Amino acid sequence: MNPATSKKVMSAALATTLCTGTLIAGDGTGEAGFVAPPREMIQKKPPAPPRVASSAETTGSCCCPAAPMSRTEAKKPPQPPVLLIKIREDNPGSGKN
Amino acid sequence: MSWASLVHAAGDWQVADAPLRFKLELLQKPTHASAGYFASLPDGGVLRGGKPATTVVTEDGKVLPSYVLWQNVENGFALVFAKPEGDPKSVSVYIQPGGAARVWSPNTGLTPGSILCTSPGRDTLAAAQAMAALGRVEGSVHWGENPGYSQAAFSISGDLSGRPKPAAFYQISHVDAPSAGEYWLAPSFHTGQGELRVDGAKVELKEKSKLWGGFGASVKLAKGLHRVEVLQTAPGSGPYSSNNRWGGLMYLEWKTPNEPLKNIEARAIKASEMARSGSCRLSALESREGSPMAVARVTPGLVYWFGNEEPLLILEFSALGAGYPADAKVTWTFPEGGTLEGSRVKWLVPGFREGRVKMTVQSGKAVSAAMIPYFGFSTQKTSLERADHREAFRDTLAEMLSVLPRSPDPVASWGDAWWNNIFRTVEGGEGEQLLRRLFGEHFEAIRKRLAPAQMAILEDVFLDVTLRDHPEENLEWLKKFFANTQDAARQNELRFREGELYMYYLNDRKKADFLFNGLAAARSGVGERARIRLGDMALLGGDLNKATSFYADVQNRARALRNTSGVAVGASVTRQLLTGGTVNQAVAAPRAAPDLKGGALQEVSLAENVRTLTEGGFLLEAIQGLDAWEAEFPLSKISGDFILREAAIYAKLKDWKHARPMLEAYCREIDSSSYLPEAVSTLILCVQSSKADPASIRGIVEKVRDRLKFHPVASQLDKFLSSTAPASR
Repeated sequence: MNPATSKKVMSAALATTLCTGTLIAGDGTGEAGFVAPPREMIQKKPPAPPRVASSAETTGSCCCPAAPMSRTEAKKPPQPPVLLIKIREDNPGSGKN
Repeated sequence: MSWASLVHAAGDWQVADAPLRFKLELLQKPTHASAGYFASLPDGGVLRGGKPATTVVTEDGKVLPSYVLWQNVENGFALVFAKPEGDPKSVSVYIQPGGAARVWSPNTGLTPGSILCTSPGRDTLAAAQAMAALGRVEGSVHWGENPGYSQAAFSISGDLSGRPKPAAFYQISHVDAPSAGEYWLAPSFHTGQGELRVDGAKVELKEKSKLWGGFGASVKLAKGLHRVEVLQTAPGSGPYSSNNRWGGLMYLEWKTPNEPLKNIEARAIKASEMARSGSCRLSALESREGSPMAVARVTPGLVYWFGNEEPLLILEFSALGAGYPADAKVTWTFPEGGTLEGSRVKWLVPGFREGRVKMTVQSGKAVSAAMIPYFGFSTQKTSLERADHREAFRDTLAEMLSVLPRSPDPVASWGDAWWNNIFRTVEGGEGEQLLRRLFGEHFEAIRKRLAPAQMAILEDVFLDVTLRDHPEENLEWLKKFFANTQDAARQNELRFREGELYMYYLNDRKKADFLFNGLAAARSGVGERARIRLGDMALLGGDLNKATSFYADVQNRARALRNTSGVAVGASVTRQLLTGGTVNQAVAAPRAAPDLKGGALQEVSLAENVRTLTEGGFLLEAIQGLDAWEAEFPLSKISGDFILREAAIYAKLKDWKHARPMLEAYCREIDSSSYLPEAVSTLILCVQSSKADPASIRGIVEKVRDRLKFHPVASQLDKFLSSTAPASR
């Protein structure tokens, strides 16, 4: 293989590796249990506010300014027990127990 | 100068020609007397969308000057009123239809701050200028006090209601100049367009230096309060960043006259250098005639939001019914069509969506109704590690299901977020009310929506929670689930459950024996489990040899099988539900070497797994672990601590009917073992906790006491025996 062809092959291989790494790493969409968001959550903006008379106290500054609504903490999965056991094998040939 | 004058009217109603009044509790006091109090009050549908003429009166009849800042039909109106003298706890805001509304202006003498007015969906300075003009504004515009960041008291960080970008903002503030002189004002606009006004005049900004705060303007200020207004746009879409370093839309810095600053041109304005209006809370809306008025407070609650699912959150709707007659009935009709009754109700709503609820208050023939708008947003920290947070989701959903129309079935339209949160919040021994409602009233919709494996797991969870207290009902459900599946393996699973129901809860061992014998013929997992139950029945019947024979037979076959494959112990029940059971085989106990030591190691591993799960409160998972252990090493019931671990799980579930029989048989049939002392202690605990007759186990305890007379447990057994009379014959 001449140097020019070799360079092309190497570049293609490098690009493939990087793209694959980017796709696989990170967003977790391929993990078991992933549920795709409803399509409208991605594309649609919130609907316009209703044009009706209000009879509720405004609940504006309830919290830190513009603090984003945060994700819920999941219940931690059960942890497996930790077992430390040493099994000693007898080896008649070595003369040791 | 005194703001107050006196009004005189008959009785408690201080302004005779006002048909309505809001009652406000005064909370935080203003930092400066002239900053007054700020209140955001609803339209209530009675103002007909007009700017209201207001008269604010203290309890002792003094009138406080009051001015409207903004008004629209959706959010009502923003009001600023003078600080009353003394320390009153509340004031009344009387509304006079047809009166001339007074809109705030600088020459009123009041210096409100910092109030942020937001127009979501707009990102033009023209929208901000419209809000700066005060008075009537667009329907979507809303307002509130802006506390600012701790490091930058004068700042705008985003839409305080949680609505996403874009938006336009207008903030009115007053800053307190400590001395007269030349001030360097340096606003930092991070995004969009911004405009700064001081005492009504637009400030032209220019670069003075490259140092921090070098872009700004010099302004001559007299000592005292000065009006500072900001007009700001936030283009783009999505949520606002709360990052302290690069989040937020703008903040204002300044340099006071002769202030020594090193290497910077300006510093952040301190909270003490700003005037802040006092805050108040609406406690009631009353009519002059005494008829109840519909007015509410919406309080955002717990959030259930995972990954890329749609967020769901609980909103609490409270009627501000301090002045309601005793017979007043409050109802809330939600967008989905359900109506709840009560002065305080909860509802699950999708996040980041607008919605409205119809509130109706009825007392005798008087009826008042109003639409309560809400936006799905909350910042309350929620953790499914907390049982009360799991319970809140289940209870709110069960209550919603009780009032939602049945046709079309609301369950059919639930997205993944609803189902996944049900799966996440159903735990061992929890969720009976919700599951009963789901299976009882929405069975067909669930069956169509869920995968068969998910359906089977959810059925099992439900059967487990109804088993203890409602065995007859459990039998009916078993029959229903049996009739609704064509899968032979599932049918056998349900038959096996039926056998256990007869064996432990309905006390009909003949029927149990019949069912287990039928299943035992099958060469499958459920067949082996049926043979183990036949062994259990033999042990309960006092035939240790027969029991051992059943157990040994199953264990020998399991050992042969184990040497060719690992032992599946299952994943968490929630995970099984979320993934439709596809990860059930994913977690396996370590494969052991095919010798005696390897088998012993694996048995210890299974036993420890069950113990850890039980201690961690993962009871459904612990029962699954118990099943895996039992399938591999049924002889552990005789030679190991299996029965103790099983009793520990059912004791935690307070299911004494299941915990007791095998313990009793073990104590009766096993002459001596290192587990016997704990077994007899647990048996006594079972009997005492279930309030069963202690005399029923006296004979067993006596025999164990004779065998363990030199063991420390003997003193506990003596104590039990001395307090228990022999069974009467």
